[in-house]
Amino acid sequence: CEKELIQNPNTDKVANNFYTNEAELEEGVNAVYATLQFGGNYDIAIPALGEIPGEDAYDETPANDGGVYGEIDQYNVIPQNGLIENVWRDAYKGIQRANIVLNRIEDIAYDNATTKKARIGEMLFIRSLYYFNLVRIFGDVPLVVEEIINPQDNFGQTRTPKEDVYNQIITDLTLAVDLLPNRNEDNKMRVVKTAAYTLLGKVYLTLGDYPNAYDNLIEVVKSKSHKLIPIEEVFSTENELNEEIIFAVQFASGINANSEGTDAYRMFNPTGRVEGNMTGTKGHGVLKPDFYDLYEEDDLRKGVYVDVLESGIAYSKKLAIPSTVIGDSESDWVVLRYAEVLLMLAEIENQRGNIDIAIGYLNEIRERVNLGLYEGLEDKNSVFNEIDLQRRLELVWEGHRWFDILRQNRAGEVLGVSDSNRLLMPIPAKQIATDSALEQNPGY
Amino acid sequence: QKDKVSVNLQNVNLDRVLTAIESQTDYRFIYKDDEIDYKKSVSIKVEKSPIEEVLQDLFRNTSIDYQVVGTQIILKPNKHIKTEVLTQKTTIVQVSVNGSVLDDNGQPLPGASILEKGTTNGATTDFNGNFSLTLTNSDAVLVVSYIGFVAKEVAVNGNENITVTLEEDFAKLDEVVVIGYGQQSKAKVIGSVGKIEEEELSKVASSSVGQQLAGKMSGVVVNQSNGQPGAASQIVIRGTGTLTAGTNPLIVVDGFPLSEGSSLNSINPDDIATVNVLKDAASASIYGSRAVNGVILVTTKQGSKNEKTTITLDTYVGMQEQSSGVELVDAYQFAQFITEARNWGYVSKDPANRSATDPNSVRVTKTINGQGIDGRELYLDFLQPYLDGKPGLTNTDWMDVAFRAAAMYNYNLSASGGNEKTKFYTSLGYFNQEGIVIGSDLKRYSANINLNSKLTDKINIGVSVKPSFTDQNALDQGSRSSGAIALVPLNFSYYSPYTDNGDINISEQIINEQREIEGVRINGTPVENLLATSTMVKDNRQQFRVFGNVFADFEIVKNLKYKISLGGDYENYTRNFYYPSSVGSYRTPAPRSDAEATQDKQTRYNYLIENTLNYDFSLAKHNFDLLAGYTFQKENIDFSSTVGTGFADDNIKNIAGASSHTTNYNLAIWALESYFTRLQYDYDAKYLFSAAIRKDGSSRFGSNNRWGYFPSVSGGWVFTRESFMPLEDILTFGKISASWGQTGNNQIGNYGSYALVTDSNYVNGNSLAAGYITTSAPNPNLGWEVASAMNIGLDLSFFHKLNFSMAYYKTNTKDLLLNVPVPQQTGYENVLANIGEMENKGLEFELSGRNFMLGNVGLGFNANLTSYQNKVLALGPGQEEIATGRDQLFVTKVGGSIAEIYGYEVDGVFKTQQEIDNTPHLSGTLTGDFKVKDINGDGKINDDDKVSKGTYTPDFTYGFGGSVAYKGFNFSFNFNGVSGRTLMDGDMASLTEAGEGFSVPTTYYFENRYHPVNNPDGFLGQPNFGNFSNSRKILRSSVVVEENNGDYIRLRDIRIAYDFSKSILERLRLSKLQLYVSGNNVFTKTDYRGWNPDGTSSNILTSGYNDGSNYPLAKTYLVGLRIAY
Repeated sequence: CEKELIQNPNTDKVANNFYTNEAELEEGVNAVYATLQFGGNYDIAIPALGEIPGEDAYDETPANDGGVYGEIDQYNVIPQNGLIENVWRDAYKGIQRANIVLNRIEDIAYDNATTKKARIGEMLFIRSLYYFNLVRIFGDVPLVVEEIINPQDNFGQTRTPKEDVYNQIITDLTLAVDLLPNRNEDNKMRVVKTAAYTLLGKVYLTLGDYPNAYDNLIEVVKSKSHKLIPIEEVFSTENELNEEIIFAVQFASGINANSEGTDAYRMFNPTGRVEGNMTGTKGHGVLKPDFYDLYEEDDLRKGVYVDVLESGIAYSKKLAIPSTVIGDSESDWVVLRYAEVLLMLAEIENQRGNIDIAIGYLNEIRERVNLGLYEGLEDKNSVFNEIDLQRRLELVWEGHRWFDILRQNRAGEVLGVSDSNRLLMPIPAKQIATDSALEQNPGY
Repeated sequence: QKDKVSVNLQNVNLDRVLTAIESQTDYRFIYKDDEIDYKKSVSIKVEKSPIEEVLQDLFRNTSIDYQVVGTQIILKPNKHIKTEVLTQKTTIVQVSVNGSVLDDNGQPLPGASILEKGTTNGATTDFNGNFSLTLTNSDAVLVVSYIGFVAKEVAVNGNENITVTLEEDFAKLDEVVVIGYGQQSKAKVIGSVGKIEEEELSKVASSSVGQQLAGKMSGVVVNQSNGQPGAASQIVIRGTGTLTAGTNPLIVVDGFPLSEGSSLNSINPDDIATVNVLKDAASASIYGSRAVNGVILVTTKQGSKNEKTTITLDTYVGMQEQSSGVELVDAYQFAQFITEARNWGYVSKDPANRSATDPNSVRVTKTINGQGIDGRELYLDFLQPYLDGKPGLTNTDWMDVAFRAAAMYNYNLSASGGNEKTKFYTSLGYFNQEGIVIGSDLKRYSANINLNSKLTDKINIGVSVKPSFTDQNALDQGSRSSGAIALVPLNFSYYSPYTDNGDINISEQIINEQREIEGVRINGTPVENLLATSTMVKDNRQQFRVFGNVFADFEIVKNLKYKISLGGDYENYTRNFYYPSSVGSYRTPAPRSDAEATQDKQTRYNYLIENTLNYDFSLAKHNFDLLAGYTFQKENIDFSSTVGTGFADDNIKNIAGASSHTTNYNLAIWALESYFTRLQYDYDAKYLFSAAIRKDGSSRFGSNNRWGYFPSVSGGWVFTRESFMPLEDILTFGKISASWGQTGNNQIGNYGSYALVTDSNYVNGNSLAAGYITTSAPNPNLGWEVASAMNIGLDLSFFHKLNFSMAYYKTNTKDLLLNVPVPQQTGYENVLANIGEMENKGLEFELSGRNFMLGNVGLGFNANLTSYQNKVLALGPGQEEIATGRDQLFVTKVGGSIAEIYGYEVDGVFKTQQEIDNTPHLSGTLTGDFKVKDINGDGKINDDDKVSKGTYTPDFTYGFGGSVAYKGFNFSFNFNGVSGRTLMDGDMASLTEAGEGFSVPTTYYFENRYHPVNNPDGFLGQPNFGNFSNSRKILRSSVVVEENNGDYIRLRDIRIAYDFSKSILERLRLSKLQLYVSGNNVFTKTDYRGWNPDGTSSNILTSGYNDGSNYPLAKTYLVGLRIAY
């Protein structure tokens, strides 16, 4: 009976016998994309961390849900914060998965060599996106770019200086730009060349390297793959993956036992927002009334991007109202879009002294929403303020504001955060408990 | 043996010569008084002659023939001279005696034997215990004996009427205990085997034998972590020896090993005759890789040969009520608490500009930095009548709604008996238990057939079959949507479970607690009425199971037996869960947008082939018992779970009503192949020795580590059998023993050694993009945990009545299967590996006595105590500790014990800002928050100031009880307790004692909370809703962990029974009629304020973590009846 002692799993695939052909590797690639939907990534945590600490959004119920959102809003995050734990965990899950594909794809024959090249580029992009998030949120983080075979070998690994992490990101994205194809109708749901250019440009902008930022972002404009579209169509679920969208994490409603939608609608809408029998919103990221008042009367974005309840609490309307259950909204999470490219270019050109060109980009944004041409003062400072205002109004609740303020070093000025230790999140207490080789950020 | 004799006797009676020979040799003469003339005068003179020659000399030319059979010499009359004997007989003086033999309760003992000492003259008692005997000598001494009783010698002294009372042989030296693949005389057992009988088990009314064992046996801790009818108990034998692998002991029912962790509910406790527990590794190692957590051997009832068929009806009805330490405040106190909490939440955010007297219309204008206020900072104007103490307002005690006086019933009808060749036992059982929490219950229908038949002198066959069907309603009590217990503190006492017209009140609280005041949502606790969820949400589990075996044994040659047994276990399980849209869930009032349904189906089958060869023989006083065996067992578990969504309405309350379905399917198979052999040897039941080895191969382990060997040796010395032992009337039995053995633990799931690729999907547009990725790391070296355990035991018995035993055990487990948390930059959270080492040691004591008579009153008592010490010797490479669980307060570190619960030492509250400024404190501390002891005195409060407050594993456990018998009455009671146990209650930490205003607080918290005006002497954190500080968040789990807060002593059972006397029974034509009343868990003394001091999480690394899923135990009151015909 000894052969009976060899029992292979019947309903699970085994790694040793997997990754043997293109189809299986494509499944691996899908599973890397799947991590984008995780709670610690673009379902909840990255949007929350990008928006709630900014000056426009706040947590209506800061004590709720263990206070994890309230702490972020009030700059008193503790290392036990569960949302922070999720960010760390889920980013690295995505990174390891990307590393698995990258480690194995070389040996697998693809029918079409371009596809294989594209997949490598996609993996590098997604890995870079996670590291970009990690390094902006935590500062130095352990850098892992190989598939981990024995996780116990990583006990004792310390945090890699953030400069090295940025170098890795730039190397990877530079490679990805070459590997990735141009956008077309068949690949628009995946990572495409303009996505890598945009992210690389944004990374350079974050590092204050305007020339390199410009060189990459201008490629997006030159590609003619993207354009601004009427604003009521930008976030319409009828029109997902439209030409304005450069990269979006996709969600869908009503499939796979209602598990493929986003929970962001429920988390961030005001507790008072009731749509049909869709109740149970948690108010963790509503908008301040004075921010809502910044939209001019004729601004087309008013009522489309944002709205206000009778109580005066304003909110973002960019996420579709769920039709199945409250945690299953259909809307994709837009990570990169053309409007932001134009605003970044405006910011760069303004910084480089090309104020006219900057105003040109700015006017593209203004004119679409019926605001007319910019008529204010044309000094660098005034134009910056207008670009900054349009970023807030255009990109409201897309998870950029906190990171914008951070890269512009304006947390003290804009938010009144005087303790610079609060600009980085604590390393999760759980991780330090697991391995004391990870040092905590100062002030925690 | 000695067979040379020297006798020199002239003209003496023959019997004197025979006695002289008996005294010099092992031979005994056997004859009938009325056949042999033993007073005949003889002369003999021999010197060191062989016995054969002496006999020839002695009986040459006499009327007596002799025959030597072994050591017996049988004397018979020589037929030629029969008349002479008859003539001689008339000369003998005869005395006759009448009498009766009774047991210590005064009941007659039919069939007892009476022998005149030194003769073969004897009689047996009749049905009424009476005898009469003609004596050969008026000075005779009678030897009275009866199986199971201590034999007694009584001098006749010329009395003609004698009553003899025999005492039960309490030492039960001939008592048999069940061991792995066999049984053994208790006197010869050298391991540590606990035994408990039906009578003791039945004192606790339960669907499961696991719960009946609690507190009854040293070294065995039964934690009833979940008191829900049908829920399994955690059984821990001699401490927890693992960190990650399963802790379930192996349970073997009539020789059939059940899958670890499979439900004991499918065994009807009424069918159980005995339970034997193999506690030490030497006894358990015959079960090899499954024995590390100990082995429980359950033996069900059997009939007896040549027994008239007895039909027995056992039945009881009972009433149960909850017994927990939870006490919550009423609506008036709650109104005060919530008002304080909301006011302080509002004021503490900006004390300079805010005041508790601000009306809500002002509060909503006091924004900070442009942010509106949290609705939790509003006071609730509708509570004003409560604050004013207006009588007659709604004041619901939700404990009374959630809990009920619950009925339980049990009926068991059995028949047993046998003829010369066949014996049988069969039963039908029906058990019905309502849960003390509304919406939970269990029904079980069970049957049992045990049949044994002797086909020929050499061949026995038998069948044992145990079918059962259970039907259980069991909602997840920890759910904040539909768990009644989890909802108790969240259902506010100013809401009523019913509407004014008597309907169930649906979603009133969810809607009301989310109402707006001044345009801001008050943001109270949005949960559904627990009465509505408990009655409308369905979670039904049905299980049909049948297991058993058929066997045959053949005696190949004398004493050499071959046995083959084929066993099987089949289980079909279905769970149907339905959450209608017409009842609300957490934060979602009814009607909800969709109903939810889940159906889980599991089919499990398991078969076992077992071949054993047994040879037992004796060479003079050397006794050998040899065993060799081969077994193979394989199990298939076929599981699917279907989730249905998209319900048009609530008409069809299962997945059939859904428009969209998602199914998960899993098929797991394991196989175990084993070889084993064992030698048991003793010399004259005095020197005992045993050795065994088992070789196990398991499909669960990695290819490099598939086979393991599990040896054991043990030795013992029954020193009271030595002739040099003095005081043999006092110390009637004494044994010391020592054993060593190795056992394994293979409870790690079925495919742990493989790196699995599991699904993780993405969507492209609106279609699913199937994704698969490696989610676990491979480990081809994965093997069993190996425990090496030693046991030293001492057993003593005094006066046959008072038994004492103690044991010292020490177990070292290495290659611990550890699901180690790993650094997450690897993309993994945990990996499974054989690393780590741990030690468990302790002492066990048992003391018991029975049949102490005070006149007609019989007294008995028992007591046991076990100590536990656990020490982690090593974890993963480079890993010093695992800190996990709530706030990482559960710490398992090298040199410490498993899951020590750490926390800050809390020392009252800060009452002024100045006090905060002058004292080390956590950042974000407000007045009304906790003061913490700066343990290391470094002027800072941080992780280094946390101290260990103990573990869930107690320092020791104990049990004691007593019994009193008088005529037909029998009164008994048992207590059990644990000492040195620490618990952390998650619900207390975050709800009932957090002071956050999210839930109704406990009375303890309310009375001791700090409030500068209403309760200035309070020492617990000031109620704060809406501005609960980081300091409070960090400290709220520490503050509810008090060292040894889980200690308890419990009156486990108390019972008074009456057995109707023989005379009444005869008139009723019954063989037994017993009536009893009893109580279980009637009284528990504990300081624990949570639901259940036995409660724990199932994760060993967070042992002692409690929440609403730890359903409280029931106090039970029963009336029972047992009739046998």
